[in-house]
Amino acid sequence: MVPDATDGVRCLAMDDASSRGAPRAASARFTRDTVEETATVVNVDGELDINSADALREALDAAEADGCSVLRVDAASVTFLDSTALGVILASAQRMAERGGRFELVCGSPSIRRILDMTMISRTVHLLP
Amino acid sequence: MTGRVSDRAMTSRSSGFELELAAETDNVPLVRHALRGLLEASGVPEERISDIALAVTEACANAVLHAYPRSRGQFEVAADLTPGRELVVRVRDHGSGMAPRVDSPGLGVGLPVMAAIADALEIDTPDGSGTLVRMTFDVAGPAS
Repeated sequence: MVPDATDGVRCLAMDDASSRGAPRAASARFTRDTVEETATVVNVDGELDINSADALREALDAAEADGCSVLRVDAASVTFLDSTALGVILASAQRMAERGGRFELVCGSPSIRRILDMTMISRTVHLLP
Repeated sequence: MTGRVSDRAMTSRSSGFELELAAETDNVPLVRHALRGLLEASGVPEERISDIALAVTEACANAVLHAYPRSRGQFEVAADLTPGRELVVRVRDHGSGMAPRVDSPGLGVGLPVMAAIADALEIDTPDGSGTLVRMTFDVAGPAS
């Protein structure tokens, strides 16, 4: 027997008519929570490499110490990024994830997108255009 | 940034440079900027310059981070841009060679990045000590 595609609709209509005034069983439920997030934004410009990695680490450590739930590094004005500095960023992102926070990296500059793409960092870090 | 540079010598040629530098972090951007100047003056497209700067930075960072874990040392960089629009960069140190390090401070992606960008990558231990990284890059010239 081929089911009639409209059966369900008819049944719903009958149920609705026969149980008028009674609460209906919902097929979806919705709850609402208010999430309080605090974000700390670290703005960086210039070159992020082995020579500035320690300064980057200090800046991120200080930002994490704020206890923020979102740590956003705005690197839109960064003109260079190497794997040493990327390691510092990844370590900070992992620490944020371990405490239930989120690490975001604003990376509009095409000059730094190359290493981000090559290392598939987007699997670990939330990238913002 | 702190750091000392010793025995720095630079020989400029129309198509390249040679640098002999202390293996200190602040000399890595110095190499990158010299390379960028060479390639910009030669009309190499910006996107290619950025890639090459990244590969050479990774090679220099390896020399600074890994070659001399317990001592101070030097590294040398030579860049030659041939008339055939081929760039050859050699990064040479006289350190401990490419021994495995369980305490490596790096992310471990330097070599893959270099290999992905360079058209040829050779790593050698000439004279039985240190590391020589030789990278060859095709550089597209301006439209002619």
